[in-house]
Amino acid sequence: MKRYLPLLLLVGAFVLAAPAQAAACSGTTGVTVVVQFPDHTTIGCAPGNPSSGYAALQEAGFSIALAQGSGAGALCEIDGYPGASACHTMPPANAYWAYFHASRGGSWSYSDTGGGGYDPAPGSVEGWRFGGGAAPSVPPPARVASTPKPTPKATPTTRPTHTAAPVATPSAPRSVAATRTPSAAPTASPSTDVGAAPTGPPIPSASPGLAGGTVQKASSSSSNGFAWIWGVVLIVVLGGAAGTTALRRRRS
Amino acid sequence: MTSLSQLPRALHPLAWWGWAIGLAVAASMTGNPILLGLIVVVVWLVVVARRTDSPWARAFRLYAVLGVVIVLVRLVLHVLVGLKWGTIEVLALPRVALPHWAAGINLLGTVYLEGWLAAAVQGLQLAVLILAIGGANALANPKRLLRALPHALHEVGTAVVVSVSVAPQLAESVQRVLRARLLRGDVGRGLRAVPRVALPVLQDTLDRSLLLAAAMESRGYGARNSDATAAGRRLVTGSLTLAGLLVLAFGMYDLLDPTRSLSWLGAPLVVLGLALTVAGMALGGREIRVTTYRRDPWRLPETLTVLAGLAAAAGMVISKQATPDLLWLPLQPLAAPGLPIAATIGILLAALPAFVTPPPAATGRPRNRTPR
Amino acid sequence: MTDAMQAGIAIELAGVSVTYAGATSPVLKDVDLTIEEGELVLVVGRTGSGKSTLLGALNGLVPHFTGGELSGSVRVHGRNTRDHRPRDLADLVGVVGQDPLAGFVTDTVEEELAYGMEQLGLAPAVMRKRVEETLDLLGIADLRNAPLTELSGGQQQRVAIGAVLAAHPRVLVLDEPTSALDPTGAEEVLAAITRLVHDVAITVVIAEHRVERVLAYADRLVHVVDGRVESGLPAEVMVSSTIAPPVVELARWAGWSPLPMSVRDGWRAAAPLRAQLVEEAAQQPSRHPGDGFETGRAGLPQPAADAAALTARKLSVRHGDLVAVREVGLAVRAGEITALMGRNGSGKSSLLWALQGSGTRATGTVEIGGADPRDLAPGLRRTRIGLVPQTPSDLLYLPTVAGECAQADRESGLGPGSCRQLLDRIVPGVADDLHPRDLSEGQRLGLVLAIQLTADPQVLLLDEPTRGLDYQAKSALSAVLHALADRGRAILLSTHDVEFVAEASDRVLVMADGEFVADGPTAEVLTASPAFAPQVAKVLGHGLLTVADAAARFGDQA
Repeated sequence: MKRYLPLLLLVGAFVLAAPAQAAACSGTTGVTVVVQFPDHTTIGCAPGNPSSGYAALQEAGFSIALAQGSGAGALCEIDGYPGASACHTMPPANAYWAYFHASRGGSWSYSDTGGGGYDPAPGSVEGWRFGGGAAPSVPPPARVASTPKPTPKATPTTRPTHTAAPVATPSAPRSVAATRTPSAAPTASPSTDVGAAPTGPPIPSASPGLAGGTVQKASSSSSNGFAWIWGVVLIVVLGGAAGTTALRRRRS
Repeated sequence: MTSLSQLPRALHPLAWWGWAIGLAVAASMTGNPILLGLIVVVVWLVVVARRTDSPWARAFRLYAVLGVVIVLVRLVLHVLVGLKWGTIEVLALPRVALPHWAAGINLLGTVYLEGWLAAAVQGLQLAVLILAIGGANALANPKRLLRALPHALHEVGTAVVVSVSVAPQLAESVQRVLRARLLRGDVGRGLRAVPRVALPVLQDTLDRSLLLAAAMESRGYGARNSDATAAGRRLVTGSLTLAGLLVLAFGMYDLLDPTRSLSWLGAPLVVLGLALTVAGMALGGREIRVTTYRRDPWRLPETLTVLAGLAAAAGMVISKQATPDLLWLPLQPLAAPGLPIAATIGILLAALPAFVTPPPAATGRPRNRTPR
Repeated sequence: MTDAMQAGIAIELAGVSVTYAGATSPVLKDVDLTIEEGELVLVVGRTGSGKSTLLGALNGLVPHFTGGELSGSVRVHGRNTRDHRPRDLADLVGVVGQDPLAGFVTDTVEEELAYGMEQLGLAPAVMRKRVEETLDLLGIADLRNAPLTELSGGQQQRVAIGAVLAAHPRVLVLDEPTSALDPTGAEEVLAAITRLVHDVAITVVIAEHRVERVLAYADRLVHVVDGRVESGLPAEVMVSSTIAPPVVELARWAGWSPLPMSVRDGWRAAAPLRAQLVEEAAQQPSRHPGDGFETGRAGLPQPAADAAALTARKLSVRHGDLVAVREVGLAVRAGEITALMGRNGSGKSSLLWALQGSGTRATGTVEIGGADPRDLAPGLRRTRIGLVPQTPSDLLYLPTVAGECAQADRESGLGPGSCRQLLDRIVPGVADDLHPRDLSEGQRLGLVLAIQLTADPQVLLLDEPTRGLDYQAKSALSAVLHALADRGRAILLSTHDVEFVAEASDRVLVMADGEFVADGPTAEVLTASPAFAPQVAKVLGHGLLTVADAAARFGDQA
């Protein structure tokens, strides 16, 4: 099952490709995740105590991809942005996902660790903004309800389309979508306060495989087939030629 | 093709370096283990076919060992402090919590296959880069390479040659003094022993340097074409070169840093800087009267060798445009690597110098060698 | 001076005085010297007499490179060194130093030969031709691609000479070209130099400690005494020279005139003496049963075999693949001075270091007073067996002579002054506050010897102690060693210097390829082959090795 998990996640990623609308966590548990894309901002909640910054992103319903090659392990895509095979190298210094921590209602502080090595405390806020390292322009959502949410994007009309899609495919990614939806509901209205959150539906625990689960477009790499065998044959042939040359020269 | 003669001779050192740099560029662009493996065997083939039996040629084995060490170190480091990611668990280790000031370092923790493979590929990439440079070093006498430098850099070249030959002398000198200390019953270690070793070694090195400097002076090193306008011309040469290097530095900065707003300035600045530097060096070179003994010729095999190296790099660039994903080992999800056509052909072309270049000339060794 | 008058003159020094910075008295005083084109000029003088300064002045290294003040004028083929730096004289004067390896700029023979010409800006075609000529002239054509570090000392020195010759200088200056070489290497170099003088008609100025090797070829002798210069025909200058080879000493003792400059001349002049020896031998055959095998030190009681101070069995030393010493057995007796001879790289140094216990040893045992020195702590080891290495200065690290001496006293656990006393006995009059680097070769050797003797070892090993010593310093060293031997110490020294062996040692071991090829009393071994025979033995034969031997034998008649 584990082996197919990435594929399933992939499907989920496509399902969730449209900008997700969500909201901050309610209550003292869960990690609120703020992701600022160049043209919009999405807020989600990772329930419970996610083990890392990446896990918080995923558990809040974002799909992520890590860079390969020279930047292996670095975050390169959130919800498929910026895309265009950006994941082959370390992202450039003027176009990367900058990572921030904050307390609820506090101020952003630039993270001195990567998302894989930081364990956000429950009740804190994680921020990601694409660009040259600037902090998200959205302040970390406050816990107290008295402050009206500055996120008017979370309109009730959009949500049903999201929740509807996962219903069709009852698989791991769907549970992600499911977690997001309940937590989003209470915060949608400005009047809802923290205490209201627990009244929502029980939060399904994230699938255990998610900790490492990453998603990437598998477009061209799936068409490799058995070409690598020809490569190995070439290596063996050339290596054999080199070996015999070396032996011949040593004898003479 | 008479100029493709197989009469043994040494290929121009710059040709080998051009070839190796082409392969290194190719290696730096790919994380596909098949392509990297191909580059390794191509370098190996050419080196065994065309190296001499000189000491620097024998050092190729060291580069190979260094490459293996790099991959191993990368793998071990990944387990120790690497960022672990992936889905396929390989090694379940407890994660050690580090204090706040060491944030960003993941000590131990569960190792996943994807992360580990990514680390291995990174190590392999670096190892192949080093192997390519090691290949050039094995095929081309680095000192002859310095002789191919323009005249203006002659003195820099001499300094490099001298310092390269000083290193083994220094080691020998340290060894000798360390041994001599035993004769005085001096087995002290630590800080107190430092001056006892350092002073005699330093004095020895100074003596040798003075002797060498005197010998070079007596043999005409540094003599210039005497000219009444020499001082004025030197000023022009100096300012041209300095200005050129400065402009070059700004241009490079502009070119390489994408966050700069004036990025269109980069390329013209680089060109201008290069032009100024070349002009300065050409002017400076006219003042120096040295000539070069047996300058290596540049013939067809040299051109072919450089083109072969360029082919590897070009193939990689084409593959990067056409099928960028094939240049990397697919890790998410894990799959077998692909075989991009253009890159493969380019690397195979880079093996040509093993056949089209003339074999190396035999090096003469003293018949009655006496170790000293 | 007109060009016509300069025609035949290569070098002209007029009223030259040189004073180094910080020195109170000049090194060279008012030197007038003219050297004609095509001459081979031998410069002799004691260590520190100003020889090197004189040679350095010939191409402007003094004062342009060394600093100091030069008054008067030095002209080389009309060019004044005041206006021309050494680099501007490179086309006229070629200089070869003592240590060829230290002066190499490139790393193969061919490139080294070309280096000087490249600096002079010669056309590539010309360089190519001259390199080939030079390779042939010096007989090193088969070494053309060889790495310089892998050559033997003699080959290196010939390459160094070739490297300056290729630039076609008109004057060749050689500063002790054979001092670091074994006899064979020295012969190679000297043969090359004499061929140059005869074939190329180049002016050669050569300074040499071992005068006996070059004297026979010299057209003129320049004798430097305390900064003053005396020059003339060799036979004339040698009458009063402070430096004289054994054949000249013998002639002075025997009162021959003119003085012989070579063994060949000496052999002819010695005919009457040899006749006398033959006569004596015929008269008293029983009194000299071992005629020719008497050692240089008559009257010494032959030490009993069981008095061995040091015994080595099956000793081997390996450096990687190279077996430097191969399973040798050796006993050094107390009260005896043993000389270890053999060409460069025959394993002498490796053997000495292995015997001392500080060097590596592959197999075998060494025993001194019931213990193997290798198993002793270095501090205790040196009270049993001391070693003076080839470069004695490696042992010195303090800024003053007094400091070094005090340190040696502490190391040996003796009261202050012990080392100083020894030093005064070995080389008197070394000032306490001098820096060890400023001492002459002989004084520095004396200081290291004193430091090593402070521990009073039963066995003393010396690696090439005669390097760079003049005749006087060598006799002083010989006297010190004899005094030690008389106190029952065993001494083993390695050297290339046949004359020193004849004067100092009782027994000679010859090493080749890591094994002993000869072992016996000095006279026996030295007279067995012409390569090892000292000059007096060549002239007189009959087992006489030194002038002192001859004086003892003929004492009453001559």
